[in-house]
Amino acid sequence: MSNYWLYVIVSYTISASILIIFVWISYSQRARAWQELKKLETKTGIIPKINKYD
Amino acid sequence: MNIIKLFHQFISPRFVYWLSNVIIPYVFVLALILIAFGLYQGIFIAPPDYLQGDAYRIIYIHVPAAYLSLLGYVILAVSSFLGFVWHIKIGYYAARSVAGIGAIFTVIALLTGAIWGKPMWGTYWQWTDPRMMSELFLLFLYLGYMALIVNIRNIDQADRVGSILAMIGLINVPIIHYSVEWWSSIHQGPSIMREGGPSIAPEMLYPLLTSILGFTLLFIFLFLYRLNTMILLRESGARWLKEIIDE
Repeated sequence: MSNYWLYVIVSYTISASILIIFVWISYSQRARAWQELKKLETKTGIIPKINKYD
Repeated sequence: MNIIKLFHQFISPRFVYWLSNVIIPYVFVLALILIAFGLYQGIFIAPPDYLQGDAYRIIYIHVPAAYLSLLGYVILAVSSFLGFVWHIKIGYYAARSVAGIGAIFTVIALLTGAIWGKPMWGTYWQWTDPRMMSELFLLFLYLGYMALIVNIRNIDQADRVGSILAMIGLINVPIIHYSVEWWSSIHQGPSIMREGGPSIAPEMLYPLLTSILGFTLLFIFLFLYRLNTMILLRESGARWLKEIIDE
């Protein structure tokens, strides 16, 4: 195995980690938004406009 | 149904929410299959390069990431244009949704490029190289846009100001693409989109095209998923959303 493989492995590991973390963040943001909507609706019977972003 | 009515339906948040919910799972699964197949072919099946040896295999992640960093910015600028000029709400939502994805792919393109540069050029980074610097500037544009929209309190104003930056920054996209032709660069010239066709051997090219297609689908998945979240937040007072939550 040549020394070049090390660069390849490091590249793929870093890229995969970044993408997995980003997918997880996107998933949790959506879950949080959905939960918040549910909570507000149960409390008031209406869904107020949420003016905030992550 | 006439074309204007169809267009209005297509840009309505309710329709986009419904459509994205339907296609998201299929896009995600197809993306994973194509990425796995493309990377497997690229890493284990494609032969080593006669000059770069196995180091060239970084291409299967670097090229899709670099291309998607540019595509992301084009979508950001076009969406911003739709919002800013025609006051199309979904344009602003799309712009906000795509900025983070574009930034992530820009970071991956920069990091993998730097790691590839070390064994090939003898350096991770060259401050005077036009391709590297214009790509780095792209990252700053993404970060600048995101910083603007989260720091301006009034949402509508934040959308408008962010859009102006996004549209002006579009000038950087052709600069990145042609930088290796216009100026002297240690980065190689185009190998796929060039006159006379691709200069890569077919056994290396097909895994690369598969990988590009797979990562493009992953990009579309992330975009639709985040757009979906954005619609939930921005349309949270809408009656149609209440009906969905009640179901």
